Amino acid sequence: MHFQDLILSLERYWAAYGCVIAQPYDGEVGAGTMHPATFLRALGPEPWKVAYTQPSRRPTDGRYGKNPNRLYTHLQYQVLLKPAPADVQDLYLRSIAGLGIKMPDHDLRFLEDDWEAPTLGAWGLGWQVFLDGQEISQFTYMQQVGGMDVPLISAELTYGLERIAQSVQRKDSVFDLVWAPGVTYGEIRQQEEFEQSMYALETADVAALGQLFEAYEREARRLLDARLAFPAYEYTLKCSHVFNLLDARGAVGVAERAALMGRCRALARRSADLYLARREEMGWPLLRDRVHAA
Amino acid sequence: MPPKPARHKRPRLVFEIGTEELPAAAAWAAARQIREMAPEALRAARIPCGAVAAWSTPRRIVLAVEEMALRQEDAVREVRGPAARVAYAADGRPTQAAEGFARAQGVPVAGLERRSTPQGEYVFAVLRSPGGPTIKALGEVLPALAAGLAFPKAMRWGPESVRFARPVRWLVALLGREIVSCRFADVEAGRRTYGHRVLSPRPITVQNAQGFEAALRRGYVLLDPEARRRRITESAIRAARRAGGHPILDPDLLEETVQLVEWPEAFSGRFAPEFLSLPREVLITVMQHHQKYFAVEDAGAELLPVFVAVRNGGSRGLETVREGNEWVLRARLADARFFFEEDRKRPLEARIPELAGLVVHERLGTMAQKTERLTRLANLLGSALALDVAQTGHLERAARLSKADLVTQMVRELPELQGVIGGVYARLDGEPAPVAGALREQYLPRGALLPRSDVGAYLAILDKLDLLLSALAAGFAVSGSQDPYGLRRAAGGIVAIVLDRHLRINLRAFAGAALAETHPALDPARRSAAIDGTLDLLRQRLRTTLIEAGISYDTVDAVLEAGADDLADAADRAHALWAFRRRPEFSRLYTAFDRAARIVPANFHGEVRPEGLDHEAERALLAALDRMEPLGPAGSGGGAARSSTDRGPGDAAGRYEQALQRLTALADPVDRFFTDVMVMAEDEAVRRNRLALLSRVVRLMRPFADLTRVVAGEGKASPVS
Repeated sequence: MHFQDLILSLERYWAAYGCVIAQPYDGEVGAGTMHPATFLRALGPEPWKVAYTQPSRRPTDGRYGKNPNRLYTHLQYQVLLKPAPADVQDLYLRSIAGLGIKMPDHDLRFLEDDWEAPTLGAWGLGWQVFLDGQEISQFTYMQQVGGMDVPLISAELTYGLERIAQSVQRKDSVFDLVWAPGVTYGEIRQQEEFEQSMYALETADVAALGQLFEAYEREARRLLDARLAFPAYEYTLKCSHVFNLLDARGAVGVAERAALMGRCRALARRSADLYLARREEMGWPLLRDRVHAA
Repeated sequence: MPPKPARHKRPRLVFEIGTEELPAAAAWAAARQIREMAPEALRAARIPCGAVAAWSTPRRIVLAVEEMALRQEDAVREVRGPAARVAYAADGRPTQAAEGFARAQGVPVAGLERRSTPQGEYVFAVLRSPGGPTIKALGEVLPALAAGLAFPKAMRWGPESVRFARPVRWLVALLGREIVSCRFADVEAGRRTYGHRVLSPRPITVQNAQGFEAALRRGYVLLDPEARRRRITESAIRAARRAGGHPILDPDLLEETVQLVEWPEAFSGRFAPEFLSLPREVLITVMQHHQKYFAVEDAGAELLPVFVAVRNGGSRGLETVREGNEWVLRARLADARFFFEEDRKRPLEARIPELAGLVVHERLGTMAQKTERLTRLANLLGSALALDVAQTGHLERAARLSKADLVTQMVRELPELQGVIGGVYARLDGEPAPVAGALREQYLPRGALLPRSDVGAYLAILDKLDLLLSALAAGFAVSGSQDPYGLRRAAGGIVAIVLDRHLRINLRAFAGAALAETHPALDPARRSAAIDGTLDLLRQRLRTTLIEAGISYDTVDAVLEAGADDLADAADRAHALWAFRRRPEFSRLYTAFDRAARIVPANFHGEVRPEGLDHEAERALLAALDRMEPLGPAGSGGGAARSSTDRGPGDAAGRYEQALQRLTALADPVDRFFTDVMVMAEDEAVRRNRLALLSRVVRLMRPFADLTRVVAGEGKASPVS
């Protein structure tokens, strides 16, 4: 199965289940959770089912395209089911079976994982899913988002696409994965990995990034005051990415991290509050069926 | 009324809470809790029963109770009414009071019973409500048991507000062959369970509680964790033996593994022998911590290029599973080797300058600054403890290198190796063994694991003391249960190490000297706030430790009131006083000191004028006082417990206890003094002289303990307050 076929298989599976197939967020994010389609939509009482691919940047994981298993950018396939259906584990397992992985021939584990995104004020409980010793997915029941208890619990499934593909294609190096017939992952992404790693680990201007953080934070606050939830959240995400870059450059220590993350979290909370307030003013549009039925 | 013997065999109760995969610790805790709660809950519901057992797997918590009575016992409740003399007239006929009481309780007047009580004779109404069928009562007992389980981390998953460690998906509740009708967490109980997720995907119908384990077994689930542990251990040993070695069955990993599988099967895999050039600690961390594999050693305790993993399932597809796991480990080890080789290109020492780029906190400076402080403190501690030149040198060197591994790739990738990998690299750099050992031990204690080497213990103490002093000097505060910078933890670590080694040091004096050395420009108010704050945290932790050791809180408080700057000494005093308290002589000693302490004003100053003592009781007390040695801690002029041959807590506490014993010689003279002499005499000179005499009694005990804090009559350990 080619790399792109994994994506296509998951898209078809979750579309058939009834998910909205969304497009990746068009800015830098560290995880699929940060996409507004998850972070904002997980808030409040409105039901929501969505699936999308999300390129996720982890500057500290940049290895110049030389490490066979570490990437500056990796691809996540993200599914959010709100509310979480009772058979969500089975739904997940069937999606894995659809990738040609026959369960009885493998060892599949749901291993405790307390997921937390401190810059988002979000946490949940769930598992890392291991296939024959390899972590292939994260599975989370989201409990808090933007520092608030959520009234409707979402199940969030995050597939590590490269990991799954390496397992299916049995490739020791991520760069040897066959993306499409005749084209490897390395041919498509290795140069980008090298250059992004160079930037994040060596070239990034720490002073300039520090100023960017301040400027983005100011802008986010201004937008919050202007009651523009999506743009405010967008600048929150920019702060978060700049923080990750500073971290990758080794420019923040253990406790200073806490302070910067606290500032990101404060913005995320306010964005979440504002989004909720706006949805409420709009009468919770995605609840409309229920309102009509009642 | 005793329950009638059952004509038929009493049925068994099985209650299964079926869940999505539970964290190992939650599953253990839930089984233990339900086993502890069930007998009481059944007793409260008046259901006689036999043995109670509980087990857990990743997907279920199961309670089984043998020989359940089919009916609850009758409830008998006695309600006290009016006094008998009010309830009955002289002729023995019930009065209106009796009739009113009987009516209110719904029993005939003739049914009232007369009972004598400590308050006299009263009438009682005996109310009997007949027990109902057990199966009905269980409908309330079982959901309450499930709801009573507590988890350190619980979650919601559905519309209900119920919280549990992970979602509850099915319930089995069977009394013999019958379903106990009940609901919990939006799930209706029935007879349908589930076996192994992959090997037995279909539901299993359980006909009889008696055959529950067998039904699960057919569904590829070994319910009893003991059975799983046995199977894991045996199959792991077998698999390792076939690969030519034996597994390192790390107890924590084994416990965790037992709770991660329902149908365990161990198998071995191999990795390329060239990875054996990696340090043993790295290999074991990667295998154990990251992959949950058991490492394998040969007869000479050398690691083999082999691991043992435990699969949740049988032998089908085992080759695929082995191959997958080998492939994953290869990638992990390749990573680790890359980090190791990169790190080894430069000695640890060469990394010290990079610490300037690692900020501890914007108000606490960088790791380079921390290193500088630790190095100074190492010398200071060397003098304070009178260490020899070599040991001080080792401590200083270890302090200088202590944080260098934080900028290695290995620690970035495997943070749990901090300190440990520093120790490995130091050894490979050719640093002296005590230096390498100290790097490894600097972050201890971890759980019950304490530093074993001297230099390691000293470095571990300095690391924590520096955190406390720097953070408090920078104005950080510890409040409530919040401890974001780990200050309480640091204090706890210092207390544990100091007590473990019975290290005699006045930490207030040392903290003062340390701050002068590391924060010379600090203003005096901040300085004393930092010192007081540090000593406060240490004292709080010492208090908890001593109470947890079984010493009553008032004994601990009495001792700490007399000073806790020398932690080991304070602990000795607490142990001595606690031992002495349970002797008969204690109450006499206590009375003497307590009376004296209560009568002498807190601000009293004055020396005894022997020529002014004309009463026999006064002179006797003075003579007794002159024969006494003080029993105070360091700094109080030396005492019985400050011997240079002090070899440990037992010694010192024992000597303190003997000293207390000797002090009881004062009890009689004090007693006579109070009996024969009027302390608060009219004549001021006489009064002052008598108070001065008593104040000597008080001063004798004051450096040891403030006995007025002891709650008289209490001699039992109390829970931590």
